[in-house]
Amino acid sequence: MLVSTRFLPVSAEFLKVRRLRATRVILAAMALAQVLVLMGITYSLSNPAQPQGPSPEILDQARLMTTFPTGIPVALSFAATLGPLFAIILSAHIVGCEYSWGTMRQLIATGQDRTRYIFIKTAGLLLASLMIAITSGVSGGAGLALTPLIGGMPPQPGAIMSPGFLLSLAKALGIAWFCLSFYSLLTLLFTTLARSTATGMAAGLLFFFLEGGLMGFLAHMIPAAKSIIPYTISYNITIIQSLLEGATHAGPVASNELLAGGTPIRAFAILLLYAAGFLRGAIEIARRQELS
Amino acid sequence: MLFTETVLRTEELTKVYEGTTVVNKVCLEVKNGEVLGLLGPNGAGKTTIINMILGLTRPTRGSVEILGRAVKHGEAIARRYVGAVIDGVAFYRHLCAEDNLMALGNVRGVPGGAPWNPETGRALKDRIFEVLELVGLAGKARAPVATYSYGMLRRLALAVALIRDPKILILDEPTTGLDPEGILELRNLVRYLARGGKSILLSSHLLHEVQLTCDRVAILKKGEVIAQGEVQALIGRAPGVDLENVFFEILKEA
Repeated sequence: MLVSTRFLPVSAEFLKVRRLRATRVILAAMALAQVLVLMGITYSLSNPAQPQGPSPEILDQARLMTTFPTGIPVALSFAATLGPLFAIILSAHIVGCEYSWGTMRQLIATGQDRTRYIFIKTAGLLLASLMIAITSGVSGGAGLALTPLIGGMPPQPGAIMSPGFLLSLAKALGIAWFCLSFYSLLTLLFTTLARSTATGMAAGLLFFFLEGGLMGFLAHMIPAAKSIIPYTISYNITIIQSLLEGATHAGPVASNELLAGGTPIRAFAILLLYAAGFLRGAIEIARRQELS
Repeated sequence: MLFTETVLRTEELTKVYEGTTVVNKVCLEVKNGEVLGLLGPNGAGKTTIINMILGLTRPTRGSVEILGRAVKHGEAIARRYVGAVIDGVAFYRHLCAEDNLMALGNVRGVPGGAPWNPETGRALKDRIFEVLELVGLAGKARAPVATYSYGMLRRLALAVALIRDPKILILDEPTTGLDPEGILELRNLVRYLARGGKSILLSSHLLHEVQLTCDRVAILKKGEVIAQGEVQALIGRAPGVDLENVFFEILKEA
């Protein structure tokens, strides 16, 4: 009995996240954006603007990435690269509304431990991130299924059950979930600190957009700062994201040269350390907060 | 009635905000089955005292003891025996009453257990229905809270406080927003709960209600307890005197 009741607040948190209107709106907006992006890519591949474009081999490879279902793992890179924007917005809402609605006060007043509260909130954010990743996979699949309408390659439904496809799908989903969860935890920290949805969201978005650029600028101005780059978030996230795209892809912070030294396992380890730091920070802030 | 065991005690509870002392060395005791009323004008420090007891605000000095155990700020163990209606209404407006009780009631301690287990889930549902029945909301259990009136929200707040069957109940202005019928029902409910052995700390502006509901009162002014005692003893000072007369007389004297 003790074991089963321990997870009740977590199931209540899942219920809250699932039923939030913001969750539905954000997932719908992301699905729509993803379908539009896929359509746009397919259209541009089918109707090259310049006759002297990429070679037919490269075009065929690109077309394969916009074919159902083989393109779904690649489509999940949308969740890993642009998905964090949606994750930051949703996470800020999930965490911030507890302050603005006064429900965090009520929970603490009813004997909820503050550390436990943050852990439960983290479980809710992990669920929200998973929902974003799954939505991305589903809307990516739906978008790819529609691409033949605008000149894309016909679907290959037989590939769905192949072990290779399922493995790459699981891997892509896991990577997308990791990236989304990471930014959700960052937003948990900011929003707990600010006690406000808007401020937490703004801080998360600014960090997402500016961290890489600022660190890159710093490394450019001060050569000694280059040694910090491999430990920055955007650098390591870029390494993780590149696993989805099948090629090393330079983000705003780092050139290919800089990325060359990074390994995915090291990147995962560094990001996990950051995530643990965000969680610890959120717990310490929540424990000290005056909820008057 | 003779109250013996002290279940809630504050010792020299003090809160200083940016150099201003808003609560000063407040010592209170609530005994088993007793209803203690906190009375005082706006700004007297009633809500701050309640916030410190509930662990929402950190005391600058002094201590809170629940069921004989000193509780630190942020520590929740002893506070699990406390149910509270805090000022204002705080709910997940996108959920129904039943789900709010599940989400807000910290239902870990509810006998019944996990909702996905058919047997224990039913016990939990039964408990939820029981408290909703007690506050008169059983018929609206599945209605979204967004459709509730303010009075209904206050009743639901009471249901949240009661869901875990706490030993101590802290009610901060529980009658705010209730109609006369609701106030009467609440008064009867508080007396019924106290008869059942619950200890209740209640803050209110309604002197008449406090007189009819509470066993003892503590009168606060500028963060200090200026008088404390049994309601009957206070109003028995002179014939024909009620708590309102006593309250204003004591405030004037202090």
